[in-house]
Amino acid sequence: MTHAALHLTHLRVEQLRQFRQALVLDGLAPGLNLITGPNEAGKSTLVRALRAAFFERHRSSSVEDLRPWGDSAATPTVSLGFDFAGRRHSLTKAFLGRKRCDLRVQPLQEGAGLPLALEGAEAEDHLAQLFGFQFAGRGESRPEHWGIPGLLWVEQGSGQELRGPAQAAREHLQQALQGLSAAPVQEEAAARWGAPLASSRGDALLAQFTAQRAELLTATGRPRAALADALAEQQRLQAEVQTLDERIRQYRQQVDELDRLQREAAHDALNPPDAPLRAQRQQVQAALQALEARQAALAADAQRLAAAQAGQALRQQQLQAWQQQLEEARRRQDRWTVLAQQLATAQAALGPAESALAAAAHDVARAQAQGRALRLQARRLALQQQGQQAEAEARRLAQAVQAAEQADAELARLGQRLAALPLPSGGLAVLQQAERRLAQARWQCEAAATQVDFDLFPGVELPWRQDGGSEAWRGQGSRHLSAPGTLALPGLGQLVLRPGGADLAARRQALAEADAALAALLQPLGLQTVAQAQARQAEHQALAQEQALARQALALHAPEGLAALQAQRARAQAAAQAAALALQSPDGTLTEVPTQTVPASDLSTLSLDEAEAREEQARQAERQARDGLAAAQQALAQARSQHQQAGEEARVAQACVDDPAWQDRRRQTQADWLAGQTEVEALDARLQQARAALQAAAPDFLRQDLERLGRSLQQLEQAATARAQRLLQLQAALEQAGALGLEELRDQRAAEAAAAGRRADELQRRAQALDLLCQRLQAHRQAALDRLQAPLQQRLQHYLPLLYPAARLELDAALTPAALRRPGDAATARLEQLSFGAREQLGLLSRLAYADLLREAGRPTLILLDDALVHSDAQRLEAMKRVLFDAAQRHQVLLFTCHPAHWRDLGVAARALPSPG
Amino acid sequence: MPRLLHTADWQIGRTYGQWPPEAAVPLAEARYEAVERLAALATAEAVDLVLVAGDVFDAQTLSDRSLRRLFNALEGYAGPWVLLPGNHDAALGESVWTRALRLGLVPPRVHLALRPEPLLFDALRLAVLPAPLTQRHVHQDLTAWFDQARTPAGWLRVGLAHGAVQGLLAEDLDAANPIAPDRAERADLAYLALGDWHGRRQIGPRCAYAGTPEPDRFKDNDPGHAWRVDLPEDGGVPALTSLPVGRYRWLQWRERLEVPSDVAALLQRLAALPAATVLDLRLAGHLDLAGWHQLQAGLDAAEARLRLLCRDAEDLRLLPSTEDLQTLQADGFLGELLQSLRLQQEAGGPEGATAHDALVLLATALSAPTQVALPAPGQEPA
Repeated sequence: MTHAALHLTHLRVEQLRQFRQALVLDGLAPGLNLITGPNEAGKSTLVRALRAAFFERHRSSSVEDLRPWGDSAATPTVSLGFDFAGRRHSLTKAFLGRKRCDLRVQPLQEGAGLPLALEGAEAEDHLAQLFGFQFAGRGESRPEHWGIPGLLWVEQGSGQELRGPAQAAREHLQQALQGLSAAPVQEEAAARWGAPLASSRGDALLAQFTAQRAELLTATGRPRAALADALAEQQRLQAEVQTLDERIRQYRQQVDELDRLQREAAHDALNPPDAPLRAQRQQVQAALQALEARQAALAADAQRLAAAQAGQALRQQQLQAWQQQLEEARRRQDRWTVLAQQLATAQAALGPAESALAAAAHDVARAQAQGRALRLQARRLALQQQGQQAEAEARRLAQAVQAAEQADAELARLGQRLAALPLPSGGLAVLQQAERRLAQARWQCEAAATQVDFDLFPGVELPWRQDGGSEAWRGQGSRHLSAPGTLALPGLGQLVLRPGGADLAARRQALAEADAALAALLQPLGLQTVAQAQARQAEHQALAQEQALARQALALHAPEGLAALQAQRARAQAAAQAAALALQSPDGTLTEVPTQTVPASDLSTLSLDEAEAREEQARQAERQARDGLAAAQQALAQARSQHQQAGEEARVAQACVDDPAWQDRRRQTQADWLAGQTEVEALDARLQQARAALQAAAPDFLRQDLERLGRSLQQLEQAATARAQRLLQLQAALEQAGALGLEELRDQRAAEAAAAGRRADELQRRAQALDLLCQRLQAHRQAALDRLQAPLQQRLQHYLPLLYPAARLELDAALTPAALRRPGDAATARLEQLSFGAREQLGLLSRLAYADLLREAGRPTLILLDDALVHSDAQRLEAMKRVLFDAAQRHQVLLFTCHPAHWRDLGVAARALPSPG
Repeated sequence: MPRLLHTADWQIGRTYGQWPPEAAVPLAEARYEAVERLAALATAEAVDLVLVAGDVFDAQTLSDRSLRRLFNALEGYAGPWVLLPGNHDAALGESVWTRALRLGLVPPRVHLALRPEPLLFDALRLAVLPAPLTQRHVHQDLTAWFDQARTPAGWLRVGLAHGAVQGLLAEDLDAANPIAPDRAERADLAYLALGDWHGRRQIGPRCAYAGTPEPDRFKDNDPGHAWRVDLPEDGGVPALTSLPVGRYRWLQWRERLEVPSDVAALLQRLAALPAATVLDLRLAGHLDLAGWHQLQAGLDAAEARLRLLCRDAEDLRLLPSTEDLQTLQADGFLGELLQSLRLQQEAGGPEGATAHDALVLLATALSAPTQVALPAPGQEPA
């Protein structure tokens, strides 16, 4: 830092707008000064006063707005003091009324220069030089005049507007930049080239070359105007030259053709090309004529041959007819002979047929007699058999009757016997039941009886007596006593034994009753015991079986009963009698056999059927023989008729053939045919020869030769005519073309084309050189600009991170921010795309950066902000406060605001303007 | 002793399209003037016959006016002319000759040798044996017939041909239109007058190329002359005298400029050149701004004075010196620009050329006395 910063120490305003009385703003700090006051308090008036003090000539009449309302005599006066570059400056500027401008400059220290007192325009120009602004030529000062202060003094609501003020201050900025950006290497270059880095004439040259380039090339580098015209002209002329070249080529071709045709014509005139052809054609014509004569002779021969052949054909037919007649006569003769033989055969066949018929008739008669005899014999035999059969039957029946009668008698006997042997009505079972009942009663009686056992000495007998019987007990035994008994004891007396028990008597009763019942049953039958009854029953059964046998025998012999059998026997006997009677009947036919006509052997060997078949056979043979005879007779008649007819025909035919005239004619025809044949063969041989000769001469080829030669001649003639025409044509065309002076014309055009080419080439080269110059100039200029902007970028980057971390502001050629690049953004944001608030903030940032640059370049920097940043949000405002605080370390900042609360944390005391009124 | 004037390769109708009209037109005119001078020369030298050995015309299709002008130019000599068709004006079926005849431009004393037949000049007892080209190019020797050509006994035989003598002219080794080197001797010619080679050149004692009377190219082979040929009547060796005819000198300079004195030397040499000069000047090397301006001024002066100055400074680099730059006030990025252009110029190629042009433009603009605002449209930098 070589220079101290500008420090506005005080400001006094008097008779200026609402400040009719003096307003003094003193004790201003070198850094931040916050001046607050409500609307209409006079902030803007103060700013205006400050501007007027610097920008307006004190003699200007365009400052009527400074005059207090309704005070026409007032002299608006601004006084201010500032320290800068070691000097104290005191400025008093009065307008309108008593116009005046005084500037006093006092060095603050020894050696800081001489004191200075300037007045009027001189003072004003000194200030303009110092602060970097201009005065308006006439009228009110306008922003474009304001230079550096215009950039750093921001009016209310225009903080975002940077381009205009920056443009107005551009020269100062560039000077500052050039002063700062001379790096060592560039300094070396600058020393070598004897000039600072940025080119003093570069922009003017670029404009010059760009304009010159635009005369020849479009923006995209295509030829235009003079260059385009020259190129087009060159092309046109080249095309014309090409056209002429082509015409010259054609001309030369035509000349060559003319030469060739003329030589050919001359050659042909000396050696006519058609002469050999004509000679050849004549030869061919002669040969052809000779050939045609031979052909005519041949045709006549052929005709003759055809006629001869036709005559021969007729004769041939005639000969064939004669031959046929002869053959016909011979054939008829043969037929007559054959028919005569047939007639004889028919006649011969008649006799045997008659004989056959007679024999057959005889056979028939004989067979008939034989048959009759056999039939009689058969009848007798039948009668005999009938009689024998009837007798046998009668005998059999008589035997049957006898047997039947025997059986009948047996039956009767058996019946009687069975009747004599009665059986119990209830059968044997009743008896057996009664017997069992008796036995039971007996057993019950015994059970109730007293048992007596004895064992007697041998030889001792003790007589027992009891009701109903007695007995002697011996040896050992035992008895049951149901009734009292007496036992005698020889030698000792007797023992009466009386059985005890109450029901013994009843039981004995029951026993008696059972015994009585059985007896009652047996008695009617005449039997005593049941065993007898059983025997009787067995006998009964045997008899019944015999009875059944007898009945069976009867049924066998007389199934329809005995009577019927007897009647049958009677009828059989009657039939036998009848048969015997028939055989003995007086009818002879039946008994007599015709032995005279029929051999006995025949009768014995032949059966009747055979005989009858033979008879039929004989009769059939007879019929056949009769038919055969009729047929033979018919055939004979027919043969006779045919034979007669054929004989007639053979006679007629033979008569014709035998005619001498006929035979003469036939011989004549044969002779004629032979003669004709000789002629035909001779003609044929001749014709074949002639044809072969003709073929060998190949008349077709000769004719083709003729045609070919004719055409060739024609073509030669045509070619000659065409050539003559072409020659005339070529001569005319060449004369015409020659008069044009084609080659001279072509050379002329080629010269023009070359000239046009040279011009186009020159222009092209000039265009290319200009193009190159423009490109290079722009590139170098841009590079220089980039280097130039580097310090400004650096200052910008000093502030920018506080607001936009890691962001970068891009500057344009006018040194104003053009775009903001933030790390998160996909694209660079153009400044116009940002919000008003953001633009205002960036505008302020840029101004501070400019101020830094200017201060480093030794320019006074005072920053005035009139109600700035009202559109910023709290966060940005916070950041901006840090920015401002930082800037205030290097620059004096006057911040006017009607929102003191917003700036409470700026770190300085607010200085309030008095309220209006 | 018959005296001939031998000339050839007039190339009437030739144009010089590669150059600006102010130079091209006079050069084309010069060809007619050369013919006029030849006619005057023939009269002055009192020759008996003028032989033109081919390529009278540069092309077959010239304008009628050009034909007329040529025949007008012959009026300066009242004696006989023999004009021979060459490869540029071959006697084709239709040719510049047939047109001239058709237009009735050919006076009786002008003999067109359109056919290989002897032309007899009774008064001179001289027979001209021409070998006209009847096609543009032939590969057989058209002069071969001279050997057997019959001419009146005791007459001089003079051959007239257009082509390349075989084995002599290295450049034309296998060129078309060959001519046997010993034709003059073999055909018993007193002299063989040749055309086609544009320089003056004697082939043998009896055979020579006349060359074109007016130079038409930079090739330095001694053009711009005609032969006066004095033929001894006994058939002895002819006496050849070269007569200057041409007006313009055609020069080709290749110069290298490295130090300031080189420029001064070059300008001095330029100043010494006669005005009737056609100069092809190709420059290379390096120049500072001062040298550059000096050179430009000198060249501009020479260009205005000479008939034609073709400059090619493609290989000449402009290298502004430090002093130049100081003078030019090329400060700041302009200095950088100058340096970068110099670098690009050194790299050469089309881009180097562009850089050179740009450098010249820039130096010129910087040299301008005032800090120019914008030049008027179309105004070229001085």
